Amino acid sequence: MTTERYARHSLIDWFDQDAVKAQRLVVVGAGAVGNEVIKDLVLLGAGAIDVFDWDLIEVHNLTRSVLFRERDIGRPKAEAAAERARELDPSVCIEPHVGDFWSTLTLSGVERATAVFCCVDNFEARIRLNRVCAIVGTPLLNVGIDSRFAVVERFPFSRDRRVPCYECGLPPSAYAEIAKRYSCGGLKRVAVAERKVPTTILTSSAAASLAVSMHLRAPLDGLPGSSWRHFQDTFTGHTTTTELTPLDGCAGCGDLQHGRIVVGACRPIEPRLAIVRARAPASPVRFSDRVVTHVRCVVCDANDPGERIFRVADRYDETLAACPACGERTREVGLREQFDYGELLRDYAGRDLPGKFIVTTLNDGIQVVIELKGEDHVRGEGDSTDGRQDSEGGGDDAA
Amino acid sequence: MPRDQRGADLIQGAIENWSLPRDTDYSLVNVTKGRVLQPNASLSSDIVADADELELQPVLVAGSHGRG
Repeated sequence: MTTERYARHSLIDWFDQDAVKAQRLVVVGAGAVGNEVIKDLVLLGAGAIDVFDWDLIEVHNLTRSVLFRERDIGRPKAEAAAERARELDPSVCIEPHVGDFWSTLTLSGVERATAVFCCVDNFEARIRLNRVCAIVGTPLLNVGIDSRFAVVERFPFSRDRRVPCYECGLPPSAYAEIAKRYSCGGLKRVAVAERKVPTTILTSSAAASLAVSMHLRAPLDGLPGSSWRHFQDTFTGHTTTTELTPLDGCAGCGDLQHGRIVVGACRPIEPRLAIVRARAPASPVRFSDRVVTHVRCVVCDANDPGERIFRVADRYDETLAACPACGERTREVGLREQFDYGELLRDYAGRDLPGKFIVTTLNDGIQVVIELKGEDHVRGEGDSTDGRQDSEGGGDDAA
Repeated sequence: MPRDQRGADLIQGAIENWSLPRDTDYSLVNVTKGRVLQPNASLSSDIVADADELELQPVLVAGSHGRG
């Protein structure tokens, strides 16, 4: 059946059906663009697809989502998309992952993937996915749309060489946009108005087909050496193709070194960290997530170091700065992303390392990425401190 | 075009002169050379030669929720 199904593909001289079948692909975001990417990959005969999305289907999604039906309203997008994709081709191996991809998508899962399609709707998610793919060295296709234009950026990440990443081409105004979501103390604001970007199936289908085509053609077209942006005006069909340039000191890829290794580890700080420390005593430990180190009310705890926390900042919002004793926003909140081994072992011994992963560099120059096993980076679990976010509604960080 | 201007200055000027939406982020590309310009890089002649065609592209961020 399979051979017959793809008989027409076999007539295309450049199309390698076996190579497509051998691919394992990750699609993050199962909305308008994600639907189209999944549909294209399934119909082309991709072997395995992992779909990540936390969101539920709403009625307005039906105008742009070929895989959703009216009866799907209220269901998780990833589940409905995977179910419908199996109807398109029962032989496809497609798995839905419902939840925040920062929690459900592992570095090892990205490492196994042939490529990752980024079909999300906000800067923060794009930045995070970009960093994961850059660190692991898995090609990333970043896909974006509005009501007229479609953009596809291909980043052929590998661990052997540096290519420009998503953040290399991101204007400072994008970071300013992200910053609006945080209070001056660095914690998430409780309520931030979302800017809704109207789109249609015209741009999402154009963007998705361009992305999938660029992915399939990249090894053949002589473009894999650098990162490229394809920007299409769907009104005119005009497409501009430009090469991205690396940014010195880029927040996303500037400190990545060749020959890095990715390993997994459990979270307790001792004794594992002491072993690494012996090989990298002077190297800092950089965390994937911002960490709340402590809270201290400048009125009530004036002569006190305050409460030590050491948890991911995404668990909290700006109400953490409110002191439950005096009722004012007088609490100083410590936020950091980088530590040295000495203070980790001295000040946080016995605690779990927070976040998705940590990065450090050994004395011999090898960069080690340690993926932290377990659920610590999942939002809204396990901490009773004021300012904690709910597991779903309060934790929305879409830009 | 003053050579000491940065890409970001040119973008800001374009937003004001052409009344472009201010709630959108923009990227500047040199279509002639086929390169995306860094916002903080100066528009020196080796980056933008006379008669080079520049294009202002909105940074497209819509797609779907994936969170993160």
